[in-house]
Amino acid sequence: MNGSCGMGNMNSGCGRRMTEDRCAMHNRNDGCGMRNVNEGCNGRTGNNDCGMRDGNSGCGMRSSGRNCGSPVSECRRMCRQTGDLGDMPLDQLPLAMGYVPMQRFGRTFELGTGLEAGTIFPELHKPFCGKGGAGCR
Amino acid sequence: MQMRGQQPDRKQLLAWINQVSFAVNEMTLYLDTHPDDEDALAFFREKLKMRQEALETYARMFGPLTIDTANDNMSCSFEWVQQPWPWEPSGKGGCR
Repeated sequence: MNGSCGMGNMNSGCGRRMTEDRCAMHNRNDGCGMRNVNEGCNGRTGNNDCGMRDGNSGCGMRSSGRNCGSPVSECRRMCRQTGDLGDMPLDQLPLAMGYVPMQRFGRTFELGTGLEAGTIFPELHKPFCGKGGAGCR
Repeated sequence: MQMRGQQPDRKQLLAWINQVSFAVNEMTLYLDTHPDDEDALAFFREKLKMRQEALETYARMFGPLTIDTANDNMSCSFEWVQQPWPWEPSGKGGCR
């Protein structure tokens, strides 16, 4: 795991596709590559009044209150505001959100090895051998 | 294993098709989340081409594996149904 590097793409309700990659391949360990933490798009964790699920606080799905507009468009607006958090260290990220590091294309297994391992990506090869990951070789 | 020039036997060729097909499948998964990754796209296209060539070679030598290569051999018969089924013993050419 690269610490805070390469986090991103939680898309909690915003459906925005992550295509750009601002983190160069060789900068793997420097806390980069995180993007688009959709803070506030989940109605239960953000402070916004327009949460998708939180129909009773301000204006949820059923309330077409004029202050908030559609919850979906509100969510998208907040997604844009939050933007790319790629340079933010892990301990400064918003709490209560899940983060998944973005994979980067690099070396691949020889194809026969890949089929046997169940992945062609060495970084995803995580054999289960009944004990802790670090000692699992 | 790369299939270059020499005549592979059936088992070798099938193993290679499985390997390269798996790589293609892996790349489709990667590209689902990284559609603009040019290195990955190049790798994907290369493996896709290798897979297609292997399937065509197999069809020519042993009969088509899928209907997509059923027209690629020069047989006068419908090889699709003439070749051994996957569960038939292959050592003696199946149970025909």
